[in-house]
Amino acid sequence: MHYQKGKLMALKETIACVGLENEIYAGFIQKLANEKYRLLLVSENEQQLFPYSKSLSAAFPDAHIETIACAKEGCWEADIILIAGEAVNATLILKISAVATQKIVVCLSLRAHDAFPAGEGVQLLQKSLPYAKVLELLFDPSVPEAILSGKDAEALAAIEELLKNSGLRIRQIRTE
Amino acid sequence: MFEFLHQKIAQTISITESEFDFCKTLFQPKKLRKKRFLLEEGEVCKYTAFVEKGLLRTYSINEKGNEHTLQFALEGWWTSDLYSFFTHDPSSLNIEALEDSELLLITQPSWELLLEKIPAFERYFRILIQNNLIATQKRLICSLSETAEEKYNKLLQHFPDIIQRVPQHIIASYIGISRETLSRIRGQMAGRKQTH
Repeated sequence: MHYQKGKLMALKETIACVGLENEIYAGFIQKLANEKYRLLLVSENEQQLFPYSKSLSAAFPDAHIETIACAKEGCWEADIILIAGEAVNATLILKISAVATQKIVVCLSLRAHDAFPAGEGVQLLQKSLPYAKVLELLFDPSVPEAILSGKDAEALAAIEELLKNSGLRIRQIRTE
Repeated sequence: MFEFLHQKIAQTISITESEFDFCKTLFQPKKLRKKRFLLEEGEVCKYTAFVEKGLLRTYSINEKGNEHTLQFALEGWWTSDLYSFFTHDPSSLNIEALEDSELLLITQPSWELLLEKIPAFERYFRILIQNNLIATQKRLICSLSETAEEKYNKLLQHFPDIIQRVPQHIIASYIGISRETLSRIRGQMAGRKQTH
């Protein structure tokens, strides 16, 4: 039975992780893999993502992890959307724009990622998803501190709370 | 995605296209799979939901672990725990998807903003809450004064969709009887139908 009388239940939020197939994000995803959240690993190529998800599920048996091949479906189900900066493009935005309204969308930007300078992905998301709460999480897998920035105070607080037990030290910057 | 909501709103109030365009920016589209929860007891109810597709039920669980179904929400209906939504107190209710559902969610700050920017929505939600109050009062009177068979018949007559789509043990928990009693009532009704 899912329910225990008298015990306050924490509603399981669904987090869609889009374009995080690259092993470089595995450590980050691991930090979110616990019983509090339901992770939807979204990849247009589900086969590619499958072994990654399997190893995560094996390492974190209490975590609820699923893969899904459609970005629109995954983001439609999600309460929070995490997108790799390098995965942000016009095609993806077209797929998710109708289902991202009023949701928190976090663009993950790697500090040391030459192929995609930090900031471009989040700028495109902010421009294209005006009714979503777009934030940027700038991090380096080898450094324990990450910078979380964005306009919406509640969204910033929610993501800081989400990352509370991740081991990452968050520096929050509220932008205008 | 928003056509059904537009249609339902237009049945009650007149709003312009640009007003509805603004309204759309305040709703969070959410797919909720069968057996997943929009709200669980102990959580503050963050959203009021419009059901575009699917079916949800609101229920509580007593100390003995028995479920009491308070209401259902079909396509075109709204659902929430209004007490928790407005007071921010933890809810004593659960809202569960009985089918894969598509919802449009609105938070209280967005709801307030909608009412402030488009006053016609004051009338829309006043009528909605008025109807909800009437339905709640009717349900209370019905639960105090009618027999289980009368309650079942009323549900069958007014909401045949619910009878078709909802498992029998949940219908029983809505009427306030055991699954066995509901089964007996259905058997008796079927028997009478055959006799006639």
